[in-house]
Amino acid sequence: MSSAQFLQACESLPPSDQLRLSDLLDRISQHPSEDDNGQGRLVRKHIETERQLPAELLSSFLRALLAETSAQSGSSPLNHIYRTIANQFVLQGGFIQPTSSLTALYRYVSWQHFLPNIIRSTMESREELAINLQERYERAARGEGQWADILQEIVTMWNVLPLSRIPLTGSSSMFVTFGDGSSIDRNSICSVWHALALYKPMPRALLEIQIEVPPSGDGFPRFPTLADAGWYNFFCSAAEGEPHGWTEPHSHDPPFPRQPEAVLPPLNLSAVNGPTSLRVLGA
Amino acid sequence: MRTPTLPIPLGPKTSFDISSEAAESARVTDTSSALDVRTTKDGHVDLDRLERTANPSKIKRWIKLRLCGQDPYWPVNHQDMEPPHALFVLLAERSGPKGLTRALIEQSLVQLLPEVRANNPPWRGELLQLVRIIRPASGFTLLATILQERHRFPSEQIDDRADIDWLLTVAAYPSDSLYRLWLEILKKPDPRHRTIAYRALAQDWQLALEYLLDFERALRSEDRSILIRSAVRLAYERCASPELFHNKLKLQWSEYRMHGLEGPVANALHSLQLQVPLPDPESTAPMSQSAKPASYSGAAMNRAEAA
Repeated sequence: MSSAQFLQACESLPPSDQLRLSDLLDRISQHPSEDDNGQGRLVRKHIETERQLPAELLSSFLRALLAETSAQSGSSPLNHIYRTIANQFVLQGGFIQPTSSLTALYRYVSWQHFLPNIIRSTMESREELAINLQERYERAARGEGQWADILQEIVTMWNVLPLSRIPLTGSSSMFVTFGDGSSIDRNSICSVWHALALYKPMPRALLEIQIEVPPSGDGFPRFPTLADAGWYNFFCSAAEGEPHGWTEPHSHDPPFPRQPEAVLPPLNLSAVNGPTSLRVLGA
Repeated sequence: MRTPTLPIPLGPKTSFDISSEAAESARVTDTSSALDVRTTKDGHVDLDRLERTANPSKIKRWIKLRLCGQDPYWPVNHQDMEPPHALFVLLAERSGPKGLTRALIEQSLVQLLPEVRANNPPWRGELLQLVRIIRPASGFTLLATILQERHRFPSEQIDDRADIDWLLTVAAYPSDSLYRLWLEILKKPDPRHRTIAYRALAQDWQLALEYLLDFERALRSEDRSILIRSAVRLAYERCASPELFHNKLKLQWSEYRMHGLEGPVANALHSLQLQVPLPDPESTAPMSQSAKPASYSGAAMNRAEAA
């Protein structure tokens, strides 16, 4: 949707709502990002994403947003705004056909965390390979080698590693996509880490696994977007048969409801013919 | 404008007052035994605070709890597949080679080794992984004793995961004193034992090239080219200069040729794009096993005997 269409959708609102919407968007845009792990920026990004909805749906979105702010006394905390976005639209609009730009999924994991999992899986069937990887991992963890060198080893071994045992796309996996026009520098660990609001501290290296999604006539559940990925640590995958997983509430007050997050159903790597791209950022 | 607060997922626990929250969790009920584990702004453990309350027994207890999956201070991030030992690796690194936290971690690991050896707990693998990375110097004697004890077992009896873990842990230490023992293990039929023994020997890059043939014989055919390549690369990384590497290769080349290892090594050098000229086949006469170059085992044997 263009800016003009967005404005048109806004103009369909009563003048008073337009003012409140303007105020709301101003508050969001002023929300400092330094001390919130990037969440303010992620909320704004989510709104940007929602602009891509059909005009009618966007109008509904804006109305719901305002209704939510009206329900709150005084200034509305952003967590309620976020809740509105998630509950009203992520869930209800839950199945959106991916555009061609959304067929590539990116999985980010801390490289130092991921490697022991590879080693453990490999140890069960290819122990000599695992012992070799183990040595590489230990050297890098001691600062004697480069993480990039280990990646080189992994890439070399990729075709013989027991991929089906490695939880890249399994129950605990979370994916992100990058929309068109994203300003994120995918070659920068800082840029990706901030954009996704990943856990702290920032790891020294992130492993980026790009996976091409096999085509499907049925469409996919909506992929988690950048905004959703901000809740990475609290994400629980969907139970079998459910269209979405959940992001669990943080324990802070006020109580925050769990967020529905639609994701790609768990896939085995063999189903996607391995990652099309595998690289380390920040090594 | 008031800054609204989002329920932000900050990864591991944010500032964590162990004296109140841990007591509630009933995992740490005695506050005198609690550590002050809090988060710095950038998400790390605050080392200054930690060290103010840390002592060997508290750190030992923390390591044990965390490796058991019951860390009361800094829960393991399962969503990111965090291995429990990784936090202590990070702490030791941030502490520095002479830091207090690192010293306490090293001391705790050494104290935990006998317990792990005696009871073989489920967290054995994580602890030994941590030992392999941190390599507390004072743990070596005990580990070497364990290796010598276990090595006396028939190979069928050491064919389990625990023994592989222990062997790997000893192999992580550079040690000339175990040279002869590793050589014996290198001749064992089990490819895992041979691989680990090679790993121990190959910490000396010259030995890595000298025993490459023994290593190669231990490998499954489908893994051979990958692991030969890896071994050559690692030896190269550990070598001080390409010239030294080339000279050593030249000494080994005839033996490689005699046993068909010439091609895989050449392929490894080529695929790794290492700037090492291949030895001229004409310049190196084939050598018999009894006429190995002086460096074949001389240097290391001398070191072993001296030790």
